Amino acid sequence: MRASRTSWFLDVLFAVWLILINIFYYAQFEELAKAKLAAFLRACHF
Amino acid sequence: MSFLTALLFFLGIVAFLGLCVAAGLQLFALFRFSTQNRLESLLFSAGIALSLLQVGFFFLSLGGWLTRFSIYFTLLVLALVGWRKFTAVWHLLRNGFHSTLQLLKTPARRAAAFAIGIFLSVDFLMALAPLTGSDALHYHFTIPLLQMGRPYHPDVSLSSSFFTGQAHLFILAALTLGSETIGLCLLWLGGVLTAAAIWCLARQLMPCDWALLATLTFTLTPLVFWQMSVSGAPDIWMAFYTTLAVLAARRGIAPQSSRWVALAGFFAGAAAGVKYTGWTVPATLLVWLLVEAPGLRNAIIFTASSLAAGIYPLLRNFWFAGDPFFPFLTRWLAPDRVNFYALGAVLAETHISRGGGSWLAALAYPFLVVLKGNEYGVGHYFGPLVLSFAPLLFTLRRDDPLVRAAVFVWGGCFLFNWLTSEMGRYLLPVYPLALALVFSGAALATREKAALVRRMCGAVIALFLLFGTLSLVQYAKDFLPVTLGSEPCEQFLERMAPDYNIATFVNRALAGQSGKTVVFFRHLYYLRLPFLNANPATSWLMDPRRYSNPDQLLSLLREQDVRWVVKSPDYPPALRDAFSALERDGKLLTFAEAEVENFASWRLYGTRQRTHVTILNVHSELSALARNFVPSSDEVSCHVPPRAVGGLPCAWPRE
Repeated sequence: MRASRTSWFLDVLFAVWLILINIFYYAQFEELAKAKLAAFLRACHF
Repeated sequence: MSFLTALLFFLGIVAFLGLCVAAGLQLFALFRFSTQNRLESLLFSAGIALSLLQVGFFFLSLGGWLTRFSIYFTLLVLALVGWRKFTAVWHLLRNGFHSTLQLLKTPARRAAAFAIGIFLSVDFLMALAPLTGSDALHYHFTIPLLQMGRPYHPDVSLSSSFFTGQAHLFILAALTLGSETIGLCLLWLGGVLTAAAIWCLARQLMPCDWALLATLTFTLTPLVFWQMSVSGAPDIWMAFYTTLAVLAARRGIAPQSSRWVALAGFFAGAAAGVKYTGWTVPATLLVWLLVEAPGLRNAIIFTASSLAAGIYPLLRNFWFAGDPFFPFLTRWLAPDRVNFYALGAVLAETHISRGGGSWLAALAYPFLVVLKGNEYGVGHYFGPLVLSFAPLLFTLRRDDPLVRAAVFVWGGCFLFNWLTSEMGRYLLPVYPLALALVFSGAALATREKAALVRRMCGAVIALFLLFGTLSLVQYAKDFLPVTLGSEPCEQFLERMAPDYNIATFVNRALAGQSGKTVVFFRHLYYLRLPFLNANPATSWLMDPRRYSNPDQLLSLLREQDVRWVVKSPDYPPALRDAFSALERDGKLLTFAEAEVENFASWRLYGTRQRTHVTILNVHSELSALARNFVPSSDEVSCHVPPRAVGGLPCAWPRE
């Protein structure tokens, strides 16, 4: 029972880890995404 | 470029690879190596032949003997060596094709393999575009272009002329054959071979589906497709040789075999021969060998074969500069040659360590290099998967020597990277190892853990594959039009090559003029006249301590036969006063001016600005003196080939 709980806790912890790492990772491209979007809008004459 | 031309380049590269594999197989058999794994045999053979070819070209280039004739002759020798193995190569490919078809029995596997093929093809098409990579335009292609057809002599006006390694010889050979595209295609070949090597490594650590995913992830990693397509940097070869070194080292340990230890050392040395940082590969692998199989014999065999495969650029640098790792040890080995300003600039560019060496900084670095990659040598271009799955490394089988070797080399290189440079992209050589290890952990975890972990791992991988695909599409759309022939080459270069408009203006304005031209901008490849790089940050010659005085600067210009100075838009701060004083005193007279468009910062951001370019003529009295100047014997006299752009290489400044 205890081993199963520990395993469940580790799984949840790992899932939270994955979410946090990926949020922080993709967030750093915000500036680049904005620049690309601006270039795209310029190209479309907006 | 027409479809036919692209196809010809592709067939040429395939034929070259076939030649190398055949010759490599012959050598492989000669030294009585054998593996049951067909792909591994093919990769080991290709690795042996390609690294030997790089070493051979290196020696030819030292004496200026790397000519079209010698290149074709070397290929003929390769063909003769591998003559008996051409049928073996054919069987290897045919059997490999059949077993691949058997392996791809599910639609998911077929889709993954198809996607890998498509992405590698897009990379190939991008590699066919004219050269526009920043470091390539500064030195990866510029130094070989300057060196072409003459005995090797470093140009101290370009500090990075000491940074070229053995893989640069493929670039020199390609330029000698008259095509920078061949050079770019060979870099692409390095990427394809690395993808095959990671597949080979992954197959030994995880099930087929996961190995396919690892290979697909590798091809979609932004740093990988950038390096193997348009960057023009040979670093991808290090990743290939490093992966082969680990695969061979595993065979050297279980069961113990000195022959395989020697081959592991050879590949580790070949990785080291590409770039200084590559020496961490043989160093860490040697420590691993000593841990796994203590004994002097293996260590000596490994070290000797490593040195035999990759020591030559270090010997060359020691010969010419007194420092094998120029300029990083020059302070101690050749203090009379130190230019502290240029050294500071090189350290600033390659060494951004700020952690102070504390353990807290060591713990933070794996996060920072991925999550703040812009400040840590574009480490974010590797994607988030290695960091995401890093906790799963604890689930790996520790009784597998391949796992232990890969962990050791990856960990050692990562630690060295943190201690010396904190530049994420220098981790490219060990990226295949890292990816194979974490995917192996993910494969185990998804098999043994709850549905939550399975779904999260799947979602994170799917998200990255989507991100990688979008990044590749976004990146490729700037390069494919010129490759597919819908955009003229000149227009493409004006749009995509940094400093290209400045270089073409200078080329046009000074066509037919004599004397060297002093330039300060970074991207020199498209200059088609004798030049002298005078940016003190990248020129060992232009020491501000020596030339901040106008008279001393004037003497240097006279000594170097300089007749033109290009200001774009201003002089470098460290030499601004001296050049401005010469201008004020009428020693530099405006000859031509123009407003050209250029990139404001990194090309990726696409921001452009107008740059004012002024060409100044060194006063005629000075020019008359310059014409009477007789170069000293240490300035290397030789003919100037038609495509040479830099004139005579600059020797060390005289005291």
